[in-house]
Amino acid sequence: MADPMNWKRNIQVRDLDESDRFEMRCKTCKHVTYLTRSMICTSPEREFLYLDEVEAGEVCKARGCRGAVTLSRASKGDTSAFVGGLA
Amino acid sequence: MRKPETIERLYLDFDGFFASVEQQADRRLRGRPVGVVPFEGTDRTCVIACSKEAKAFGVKNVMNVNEARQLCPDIVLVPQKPDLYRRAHNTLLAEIESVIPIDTVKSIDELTCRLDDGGRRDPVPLVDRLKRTLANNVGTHITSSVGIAANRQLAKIACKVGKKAGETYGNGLLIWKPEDLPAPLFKLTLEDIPGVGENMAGRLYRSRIQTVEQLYNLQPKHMRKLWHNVTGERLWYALHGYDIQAPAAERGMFGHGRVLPPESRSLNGAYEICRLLMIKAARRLRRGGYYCAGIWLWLSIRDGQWQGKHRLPIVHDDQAVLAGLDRLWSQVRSELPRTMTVFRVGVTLMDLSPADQRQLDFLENDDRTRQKWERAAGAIDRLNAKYGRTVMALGMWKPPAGGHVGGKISYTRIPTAEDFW
Repeated sequence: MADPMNWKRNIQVRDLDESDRFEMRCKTCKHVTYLTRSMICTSPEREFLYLDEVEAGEVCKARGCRGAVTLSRASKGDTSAFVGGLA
Repeated sequence: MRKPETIERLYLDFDGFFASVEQQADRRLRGRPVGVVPFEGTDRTCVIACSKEAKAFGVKNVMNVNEARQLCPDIVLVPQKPDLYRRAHNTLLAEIESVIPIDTVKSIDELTCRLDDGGRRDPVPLVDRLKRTLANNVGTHITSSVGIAANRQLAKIACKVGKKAGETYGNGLLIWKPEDLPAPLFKLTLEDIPGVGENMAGRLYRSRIQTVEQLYNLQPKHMRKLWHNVTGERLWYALHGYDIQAPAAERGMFGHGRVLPPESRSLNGAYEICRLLMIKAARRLRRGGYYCAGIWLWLSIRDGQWQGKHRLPIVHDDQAVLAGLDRLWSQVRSELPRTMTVFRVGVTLMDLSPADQRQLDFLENDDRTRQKWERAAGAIDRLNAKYGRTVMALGMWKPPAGGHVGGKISYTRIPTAEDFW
């Protein structure tokens, strides 16, 4: 059973940093595009949306698809290396 | 250096991460011994990760497939899916951050957090909440082990010990308070200490240091001397509970490597994969905001290896790095027989400069043609980003069977969706 405080239900768009990126992955065709705070905030009131509401309102951007999408946080890629085995 | 008087760090390590993500994603694999292999269709490869069910039979990570089959005849071998593991990592981290802020991501399946006052006083409810959140919102088949101690290194060791302490592998929790140490450390072997690999253990044995207790009782400068560098001294402070951790490392290169599938082990096949890897590395270079001044090519061939370097002007466009690769590849063709088998390749863009600190050689002209190629590379990147896949590239774009070119998961890098385009 999903926790009522799933991370997407816990974060509002206004909580996001400009550098935060989210992946939008189509559930139908698996097409991936990125979403940032400025792309979500097409109008001022959208700042108050929770991320699960953003996810529910988005559709796949691939031509002719318009499938539902899953929103996930995009990693920045780099990790903090182990130096000589030191964590 | 500060020596914490209580527990301050949490270290979380997912159990058999790749294999448990496979089990979570595919219910047919649940409860069965699973081994993840780089690609299908050959036994001349190794199991890169295995499930706890396979571990119970003695199968280990990075074990030859034939050896794994001997130990566990029913093992189910599945080809790796780096994009699936990457997405699982992102989802799991988002859920963890809803419970506790993440201090540092150490690898695709390891991370550390700082405990707040409540967590320091009573960490068990925090860990319960963390595990419950992951089980409820991601799945029950991806489990994790947690170690808690005064610093990251001790928390990592506690995590590793806790993983194997229960009746079954994984899902552990071990808390080492400063007052409990060093007794639990003394029960370990030297090789259980991260930072003591096979070679270092050999060096310690030759110096008549055979137990962790003997290592612990050395002086910091003695450990520095044994290690031949400052890492030994740092490890001493870490084992004694001081607040020390790995220093931040600066990026020095962008590289990709790949074990070649059997059908690509000719010189022509290897070149095509090197070209794809080079383009992928150049894309990452541009995304990271860097330029490079050299490329390095490495081939693992029958009975040995070949490597070569080529200097470049300070560039980041595909045309420049591919021209450099062609120069190196003409050397390969002149030095190796035409029938040579290539097993692995690696390409690296090195001598990096951040884009805003690019210092051109005053004898090199940053000519108009170069700038035009840079604009072309930028336009290609934008088109690929718009369509979410490689719709345009310089030259043929034929990813090899098995895919995932440039999507390799290493200790220092977790690929992004763009790496799979």
